[in-house]
Amino acid sequence: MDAFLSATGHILTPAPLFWCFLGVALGAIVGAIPGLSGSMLITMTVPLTFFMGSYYDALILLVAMYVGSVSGGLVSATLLRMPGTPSSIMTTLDGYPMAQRGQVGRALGLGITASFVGGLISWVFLIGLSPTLAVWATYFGPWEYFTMVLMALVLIASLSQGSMAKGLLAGFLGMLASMPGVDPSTGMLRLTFGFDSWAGGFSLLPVLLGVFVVSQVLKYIIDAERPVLRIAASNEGIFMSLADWKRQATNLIRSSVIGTWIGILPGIGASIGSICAYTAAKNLSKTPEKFGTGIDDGVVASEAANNATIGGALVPLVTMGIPGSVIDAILIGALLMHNLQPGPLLFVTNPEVPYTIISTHLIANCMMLVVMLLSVKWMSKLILVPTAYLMPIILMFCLIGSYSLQNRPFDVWVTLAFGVIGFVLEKVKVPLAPFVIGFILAVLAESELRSGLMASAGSITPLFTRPVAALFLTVSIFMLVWSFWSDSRGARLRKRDLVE
Amino acid sequence: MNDKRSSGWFEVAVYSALLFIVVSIFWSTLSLPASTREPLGSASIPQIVSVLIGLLCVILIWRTLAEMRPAADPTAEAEDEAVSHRRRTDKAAICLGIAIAFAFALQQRLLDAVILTPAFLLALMLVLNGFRPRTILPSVAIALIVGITTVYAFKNFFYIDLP
Repeated sequence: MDAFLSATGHILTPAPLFWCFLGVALGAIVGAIPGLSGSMLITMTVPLTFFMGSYYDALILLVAMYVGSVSGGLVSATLLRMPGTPSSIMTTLDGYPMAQRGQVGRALGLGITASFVGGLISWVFLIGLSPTLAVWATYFGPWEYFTMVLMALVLIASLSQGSMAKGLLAGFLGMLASMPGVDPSTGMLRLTFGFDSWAGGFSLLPVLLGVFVVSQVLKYIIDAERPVLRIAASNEGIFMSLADWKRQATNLIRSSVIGTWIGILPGIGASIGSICAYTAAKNLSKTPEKFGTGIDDGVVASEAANNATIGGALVPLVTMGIPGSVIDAILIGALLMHNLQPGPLLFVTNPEVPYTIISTHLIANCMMLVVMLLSVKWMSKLILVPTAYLMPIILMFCLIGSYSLQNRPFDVWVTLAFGVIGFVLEKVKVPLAPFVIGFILAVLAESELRSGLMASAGSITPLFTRPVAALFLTVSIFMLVWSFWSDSRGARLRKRDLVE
Repeated sequence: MNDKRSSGWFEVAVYSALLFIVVSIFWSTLSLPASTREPLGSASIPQIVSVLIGLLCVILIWRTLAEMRPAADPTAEAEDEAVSHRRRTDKAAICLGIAIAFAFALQQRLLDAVILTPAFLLALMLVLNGFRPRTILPSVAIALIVGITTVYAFKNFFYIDLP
C-alpha cells in the first residue's frame, strides 16, 4: 500500500503529471489517425525515453500513451468508419451509423464514457489481483515459466487473426529471429552465418520499429489513395444522461469484465476483447437485430471492453513479465532496456515500478476522459492529416531512432529488413503480434527450459509432475488441438455447404 | 480469379523462401559442437524451432495450393477485400529504395546528417505528393524544419553520433 501511495504521489507532481498528460494526448491523437497505432507511437518513443530523467517518468509516458491510443481509435471509427486502432473495429459497426443519423456527439460521448468505465473496472482487477498473483508467481520454477510461455504463444496464435497455422508460424519465426548471436547459456556463437555484426543478435527495438512501424508505413503508402467519407464532429449530446447510465449499467459492467479477463490471457489484445464483449451484448440483447444499425449498446460494449483489456493485459506483465498484448510486449522491451527485469520479483526488489504502472493506468484513464470529452471536436480535425507529410517524418524517426540506440548503422538495416519481413508476412495474412511476442519470449522460454533440464538432469518428467506446469501444458495442448479442429471443421462445413 | 491465383502463388513463394531459410538455419546448426555442461546445447532449440517452422510451411503451401484449385470455394473470392482505389505499390517501393539509400549514406557517412536528413524527407514527400507545384514549397519547408531540428536535437541533446 505504501508503494502504491508513493507511486501515486509521485505521478501527481507536476513533471510526471505533464508526461501523463502528454502521453494521453499523443496516444489519443495517434489512435484517432487511421493507419497509425499505439504500438507504432510507443515503439518510436522508447528510444527517446533513454534521455528522460528517470525510468519512472518513461513508464508514465508509455503507459499513458497506451491508454490514450486505445481510446482514440473510436474517433475515426465513428467519423470515418475506419478504426483508428484495430481494437475499435467493432465500434465502426454502430458508431458510424449513429454519426450518419446525426448523433455524432452521442456516439463519441458513449464511447468515451464507456472507455473510462472499462478502464476503471479493469484497474480494480489490476490492483486487486496483481500483488497476490505476484506472490504466487514467486513460487514458479523454470518448468512453470517455460510452460506459461508456451501457453502464451499457443493462445495468441490460436486467437489472433487468420488461421492457427499462420499464428504459430509467426510465433516460431519470432523465436527464431531472437536466436542469432551469443548463446546466453554456453557463450557459443550461433546462427551468425559469418557476419560479425550478427554476434550481438538483433536488438529488440530495431526489430519492433521494423515490424510495427516501417511495415505499417509501407502498407499505408500503398493504400494512401483510399477514399474516405468524413462526418464532422459535434459535442451535442456528448455527456451521458442518468437514464443512459441506468440503461447501460449492466452492459458496461459485463463488457468491462469480459475485456479484463480476455486481457489477462497472455498475448491476446484489445480486438478480441472488443469482439467478445460485442457478441455477448448482442446475444443477450432483447433487440439483437438492431446491432450494426447504430445502437448505443454496440458502441458501449466495444469501447468498454477494449479499454478494459489494458488493465487486464497489465496483470500478467507486472506479475509475471508475460505480455498480455502487443503493446505490453513493447513495454516489457522498454523495461528491459532500462535494466529492469519484469516479473514477480519486481514487486519485491523495486515495488515502485509495478505500482507506477498501476497508478498511471488509473490517472491516465481519468485524464483520458477529460481530454477526450473536451477536445474530441478538435481532435477530429487532425484525423485527416496529409500522409504525404506524416509518413516520411515517421520513417525518419524510425531510422534515426534505431541508429541512436547504439550509434551503429547495423540497427538501421535491421529495422528496414524487419520492416520488409513484417510487410510480407502481413501480405500473406500472417499476424505480426505472435511474431513480436515470440521474439520477446523466446529468450525466457529457452533459458527456463535449459535451467529446468539442468536441475532435473535432462529429464522432462517435471513437465507432468509439477501441477502448475502440467496445467499450463494441458491448456496449451487443448488450445492447440481445439484450434486445429475448429479450423478443419470450418473448412469441412464450407465444403459441405458448397456440395449442397 | 487471376488476382487470387497470383496472390496464391505469392503465398507459395513466401512459404518456400521461409522453408529454404529454415533448412539453411538447420544446416548451420549442425556444425555447432554439443555442450558438455548441459543437456540441450546451443543447437537444439534452433533445430526444433526450424523443424516446426518447416512443417508449418509445408502445411501452408499444401493448403494454399488446394485453395488455388479451380474447384475450390468460388465464394472465397468474394470474401476478399474489395479494393475501390489504386494501390500505390510503386510509391511504396520507391520510398523503401530511398530509405535504403538513406541507411547506406548514414553508414558510409557520405553527407552531413544536417543535409542528409532533410534531403531524405524531401525526397519521400515529393514521391508521395507526386511533384505537384502546389506541394513543393510546403514539402521543402517541412523537410528543412523537421530534418534540421531533429538532427540538432539528436546531436546536441541526446548526444547521438550522427554523421
